[in-house]
Amino acid sequence: MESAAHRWDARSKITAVVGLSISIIAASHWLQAAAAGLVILILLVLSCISWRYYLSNLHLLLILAAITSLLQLLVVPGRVIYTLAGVTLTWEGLLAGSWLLFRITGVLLLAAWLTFTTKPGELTAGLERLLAPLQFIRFPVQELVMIMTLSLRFLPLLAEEAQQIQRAQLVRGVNWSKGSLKQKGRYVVAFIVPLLRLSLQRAEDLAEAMENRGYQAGITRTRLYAQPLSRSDWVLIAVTGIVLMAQLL
Amino acid sequence: MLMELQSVSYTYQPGTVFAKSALHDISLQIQENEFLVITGQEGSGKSTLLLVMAGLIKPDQGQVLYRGQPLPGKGIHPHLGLVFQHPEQQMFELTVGQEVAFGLENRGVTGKQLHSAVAGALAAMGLDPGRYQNRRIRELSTGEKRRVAIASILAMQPRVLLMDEPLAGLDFSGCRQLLDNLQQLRRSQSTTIIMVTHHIEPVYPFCTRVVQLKEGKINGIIRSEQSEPAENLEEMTLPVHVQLLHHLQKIKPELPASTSTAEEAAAVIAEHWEIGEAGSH
Amino acid sequence: MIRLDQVSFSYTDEQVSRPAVQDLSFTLEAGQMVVLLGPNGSGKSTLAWLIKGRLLPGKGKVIVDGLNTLDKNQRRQVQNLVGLVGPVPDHQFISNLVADDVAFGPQNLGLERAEINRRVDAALKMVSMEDYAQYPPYLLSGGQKQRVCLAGVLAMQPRYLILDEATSMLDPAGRQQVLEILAKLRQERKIGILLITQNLEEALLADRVAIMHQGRIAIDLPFRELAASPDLLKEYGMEEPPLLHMASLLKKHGLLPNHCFPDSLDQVVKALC
Repeated sequence: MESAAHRWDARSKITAVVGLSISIIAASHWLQAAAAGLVILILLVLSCISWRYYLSNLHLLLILAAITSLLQLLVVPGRVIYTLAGVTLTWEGLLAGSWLLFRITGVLLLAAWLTFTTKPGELTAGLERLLAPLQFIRFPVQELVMIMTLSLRFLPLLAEEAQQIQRAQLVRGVNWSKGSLKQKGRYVVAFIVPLLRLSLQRAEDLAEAMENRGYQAGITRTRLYAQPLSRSDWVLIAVTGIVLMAQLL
Repeated sequence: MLMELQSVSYTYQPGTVFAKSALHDISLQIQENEFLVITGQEGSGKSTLLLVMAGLIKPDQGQVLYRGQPLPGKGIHPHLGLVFQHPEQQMFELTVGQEVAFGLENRGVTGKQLHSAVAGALAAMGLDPGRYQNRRIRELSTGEKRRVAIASILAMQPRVLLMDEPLAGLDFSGCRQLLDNLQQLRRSQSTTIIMVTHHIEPVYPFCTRVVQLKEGKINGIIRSEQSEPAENLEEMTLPVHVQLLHHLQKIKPELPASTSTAEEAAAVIAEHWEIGEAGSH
Repeated sequence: MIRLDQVSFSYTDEQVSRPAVQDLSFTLEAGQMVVLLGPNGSGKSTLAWLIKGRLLPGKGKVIVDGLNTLDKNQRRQVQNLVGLVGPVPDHQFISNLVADDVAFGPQNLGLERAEINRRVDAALKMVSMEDYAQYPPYLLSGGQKQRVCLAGVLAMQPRYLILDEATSMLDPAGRQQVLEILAKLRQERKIGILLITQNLEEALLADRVAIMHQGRIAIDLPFRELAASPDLLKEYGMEEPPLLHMASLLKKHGLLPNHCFPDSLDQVVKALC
């Protein structure tokens, strides 16, 4: 996949996502919101990924957002639009709900955009470079990034193991549809015990494998990705900066 | 006929980029008290086939019949037991005794019946109940863990025991012990054993048939004692003495396609060879 | 050269001491391949970790190219000279990308980026996996995964390689791939290889075969000598490799000459015809 968005450096993308998220959340005037929203739309278009793909991945979260926003309609006091069975809908509620929906959707889309256009390795490397200055105040940036990289690596594996454990449970007569609450409690424990045991074992094995290849806490490791930012990266950062400034007006 | 697979096919994650056809039109009949070995290269679909046989995966096409009836839609048939490759994925309790009892407790078995079933299963796997009942699972060696995993299934007295690579990581004596235990089980309880493994040499003398899978299809089947020639089997996953018979059959078609043991193979080759023919050295 | 001088090591677990290696002496030269056999629990992995410097000998010393593992500074160098590959590739991967995973070791050495990229390319070429550099490991077969693990270790340019049951989880095809690479490494790079395995067929490739028994090395012989005495193998709970077993049986029936020790099935077929 090679779109303009894929080509941007992970650092500029992370900066853009953070900056634009702050912009959306901080926006109080519809013009400010429009500016941020417009930039987000442009970014989405530049990712060359169909809106259908974004929707299929986010639909559950978006439904959750819609429900939360709908609640605003009912809960916020103000000038009444309509009353139904003791529940009042207000204009202020409508406004608040719309803003909330806009903000949540914006942040979700930005997060999705980032993960869809950036390889996990590039993402963690970008984060490491951005956070690098923190090393001067003894913040363990390298170790933190290592934890993130390893988590990313292990999540699909854990999912697979979980499925196998579930199958093994079926083989031993575990039946989730029958049984008392106490029985179901036992089943849950019987799921967590092997998963935990397995995860701890994996962690130990991994630590050993890492040490075997020379990893030690506190060493300086060469970074694999060190390309400088290109012109388009700076453009992205600049645009983010402008939108962010606009929120202060 | 105990079990039958009729034109079974299965694809992982169909319709996505990751779609992988694991099984393709597999038909197989399994007799009672057989010791069936399923072998094949990695990715040939062996483990998937086992899961389909156990009823834990429903095939996209075709069906699996046990005693003429299709397998239950949910859960596993009470006559079937499956031992997974990695003991860690199937150990739910802290001590050996609790672990072996787990399956029976889920079936509502209690008291003396439970106790004797657990002791019996441990003994069948060569683990002295007195010594092992209260041992913690994390203290056990790999070989011991494997045997506890099998005992946990045996306690439920399955008629068909399905096993995924039970010999991996075992040394020679460990292999021997396990196979002897399984042989004993077949004799005493008429258990049918279906084993996926690529450790073909130690298993061959014990098994009745070997099914070779290749890219999700059945490449060939050979009985451990078979006179008729076997067709287009992949040599790599067959024992040395069978490979030798295969090569020699080209010159002497009277030779059987397979014998149970290497000793029998040497004897039958000697029968058909005149001393003078053992030539150039 | 790797040299162990009367090394002993015990595991202490809740005040109980379990001797794992006792009075063990052993050598491995560069370019040599030694196969180490022995039943589970005989101390093979412990020996591997002692050589790697992950464990320190209670008695005796472990010297690798003149460096003593008991010395803290020298130990770090030893760990870079000795590469270790374990049995389960999935337990050894750090990254979701083959190239990044192979780069892990060199990154830890603090090498320059250009050098790291060179080493990654060379290592992947050595194991014939250069086409898979951008693949995630989970899409690979067992043999391919283990080759990537090997590459990850080779990228650190070790002088010695220990494979701790590295072929035990592989099917025959995967095992073959790994063994071919080991032969290449020994030939071209003169890397000293310690192959720990349960599979006696792999002993066919070795200069020497050692058998461990209860923490000691019971036998350390050139392969030909060991192959000629199957009773010795049986004494230590091992069995002849199937090919040699078949050859022995044929010899008993007078179909093969007694001095015939075949390396392959084709040799047996030829000898019979």
